[in-house]
Amino acid sequence: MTDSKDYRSIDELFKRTFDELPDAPSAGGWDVPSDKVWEHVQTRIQTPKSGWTAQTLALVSAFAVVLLIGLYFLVASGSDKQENKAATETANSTANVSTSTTAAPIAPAVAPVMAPATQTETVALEKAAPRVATTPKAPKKTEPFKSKMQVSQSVAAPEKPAHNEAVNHADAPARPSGALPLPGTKPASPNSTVAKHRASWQKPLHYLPVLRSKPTIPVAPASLRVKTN
Amino acid sequence: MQQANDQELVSGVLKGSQPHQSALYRQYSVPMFRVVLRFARDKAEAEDMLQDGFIRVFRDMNQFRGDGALGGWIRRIMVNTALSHLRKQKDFIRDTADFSPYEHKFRTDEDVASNMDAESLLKLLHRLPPGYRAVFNLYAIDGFSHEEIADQLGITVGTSKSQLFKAREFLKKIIDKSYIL
Repeated sequence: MTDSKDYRSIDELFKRTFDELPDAPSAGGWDVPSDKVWEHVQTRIQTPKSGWTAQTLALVSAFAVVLLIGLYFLVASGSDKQENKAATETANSTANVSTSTTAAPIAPAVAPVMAPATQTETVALEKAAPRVATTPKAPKKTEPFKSKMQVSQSVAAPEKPAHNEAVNHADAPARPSGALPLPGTKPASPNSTVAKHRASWQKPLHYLPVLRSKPTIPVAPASLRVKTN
Repeated sequence: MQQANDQELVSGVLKGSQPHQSALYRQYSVPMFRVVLRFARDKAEAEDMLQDGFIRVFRDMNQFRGDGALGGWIRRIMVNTALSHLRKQKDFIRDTADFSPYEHKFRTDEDVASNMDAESLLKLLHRLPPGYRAVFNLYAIDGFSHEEIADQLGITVGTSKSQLFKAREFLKKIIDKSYIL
């Protein structure tokens, strides 16, 4: 019960009446909320925490497992493809080299064909397995192949009939095919096909990298080796 | 002492302590229920407001800076929650001079003047249209300005003033004019 006479306006009547209420709930219980309110509040503030933990752990675990399995298959299939590709290229290069080696006695005809093929494959293998291609062992293993080519040139040259033996071509550089230049011809310019061809033969050929334990290039027969003093 | 208790309650609630949550609710549920009762049309709606308000209190407790009273901070949350409930009601603000749809509610035989306690005044408030009730509560009891009310309710300042005027007119009709200037 409030003293209404003290109020100057209806605003003040309401304001003072509600502001001066005691902290304790009223006897009639009109200002006491039901117990369900706290139960609902408690449920709402507790549920997200527990639900978050269990559901999140399950989701994260499932996602991690799926991700790991996917990565495993991805890596496995990638390495299989790489191995198959390298094996195929190795097999092809081995076949080419063995073919050229068996055809070594007919050096003038075989050498120009063999050289580009070998170089192309060397580049391909360098792309496929650069670490193997750039191993420091390569220069040592080029020795037999290089000497074989020199042998093939030196052996094949006399077999080729000289076109004009009367003309002295001692100062002219030897052609890869062993043929002598025609009389009266000028030395080939540095940009000509012949000069490029010659320059390419002057560079040492890289030995094919060994990808497996089995040697891919057979050793040249003893009859073709250069005897060094 | 009250401030120390508030700090203890806040730190406990922030740690997720259930006894502290329960203690905070017990301490503030009654005064906050009185606040939302003024905005609601009945007790059930007030309980919904109180529930949502306390959920926001526990959820946003980390935003309480401690530079004021915890009770004041919770009260602001309760008022905002009550206004959110009101805004969800379609067309709760009626900017009309036609009082007739609500006039019958004030034809009562209750001796209001001789029974001016909070519960009786609350019953009078519940008979007001929701828009009038909200503006009257915010302006007369909670101390908001018309600009703030307009901002809170998404109405113009003029509408807020007219709603307050009409609310007073309603209330005067049922309260003995001999006690009010």
